[in-house]
Amino acid sequence: METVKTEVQIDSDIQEFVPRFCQSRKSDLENLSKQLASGDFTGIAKIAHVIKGVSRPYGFPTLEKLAVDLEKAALANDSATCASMYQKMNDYLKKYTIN
Amino acid sequence: MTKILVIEDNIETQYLLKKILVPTYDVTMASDLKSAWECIESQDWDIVILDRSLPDGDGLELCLKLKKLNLEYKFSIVMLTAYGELDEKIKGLSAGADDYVVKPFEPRELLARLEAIQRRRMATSNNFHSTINLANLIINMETHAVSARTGKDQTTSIDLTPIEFKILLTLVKNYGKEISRESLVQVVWDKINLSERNIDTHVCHLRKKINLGQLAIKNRRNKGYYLTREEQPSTQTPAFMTAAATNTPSTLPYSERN
Repeated sequence: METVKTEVQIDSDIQEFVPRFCQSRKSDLENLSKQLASGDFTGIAKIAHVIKGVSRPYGFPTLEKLAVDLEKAALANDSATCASMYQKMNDYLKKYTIN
Repeated sequence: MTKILVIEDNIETQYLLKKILVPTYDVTMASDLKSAWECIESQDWDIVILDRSLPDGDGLELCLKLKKLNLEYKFSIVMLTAYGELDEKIKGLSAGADDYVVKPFEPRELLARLEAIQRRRMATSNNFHSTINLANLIINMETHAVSARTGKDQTTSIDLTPIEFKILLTLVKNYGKEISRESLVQVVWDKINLSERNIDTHVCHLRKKINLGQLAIKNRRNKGYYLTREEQPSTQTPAFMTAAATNTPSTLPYSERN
């Protein structure tokens, strides 16, 4: 598994689960990419909803904000903003994952 | 130890909750509504932490289902969800949740809210009254003995079966309000799929036994059974209802004493 670091410091108890968290987010991004391609805004909103609820405790507050914006854009069927948020999330996670 | 059932499908949230709760509570996880309902039917719980976005439905449905069945809550419900808008909070609390926590949550806040719920639960159980008086009926909650005042300083004992007692208690606690057969089946047998006609026989026997002047069990078609005073419609508050005793919530229609 890749090495990850968190944006903010978190409880050491939670730290051990962060790599798995990031792995899940990678899967989310893969699914988001497919949903963007097919215009599945409901699917995008669902994934964004989950990410928004779980990112901050694992040390990724900015990811939470991106997910909030992504969910709003998906609920508004705004494909341009969805694509932009997806890209930002992608870049963000790469920043915190060190090979 | 306080038993908590967590109904949550997201693995990261489950992990977080385990880390936060396990040192203090006895925690069980359910990942969907189906398994959650099996847990609820098979064991007693103190608190249920309930997510909304579940694979087989909205957690709100569980709350509404319990409310519809008019079950006396044996547990408190804390909704834990990323739906943070005001309307959603109102929906959740109106559906029967005792508290509503928005994700992402602060672990210390969640723990503090759970402690607050525990304090409320303990305060309620400490106020558990040993006797209920409704009209001329006296129900001893410790021994389950039921009697009726039949004259000055005179009481007559009423011999009820355990099932009749459960039915009577449910009707007393919901005085004037219709309780469906389905709900009574659930209260008595803790099952949903039993024939509702089983209840009619027991109600028939119960009616005869408590028919000592002041109270009657009536049936409103398609709604259910309700307890009322003979000459009063069920929607009116009977004049004979005693005022709330000390430490008794003022909304109770009957008096309870320690």
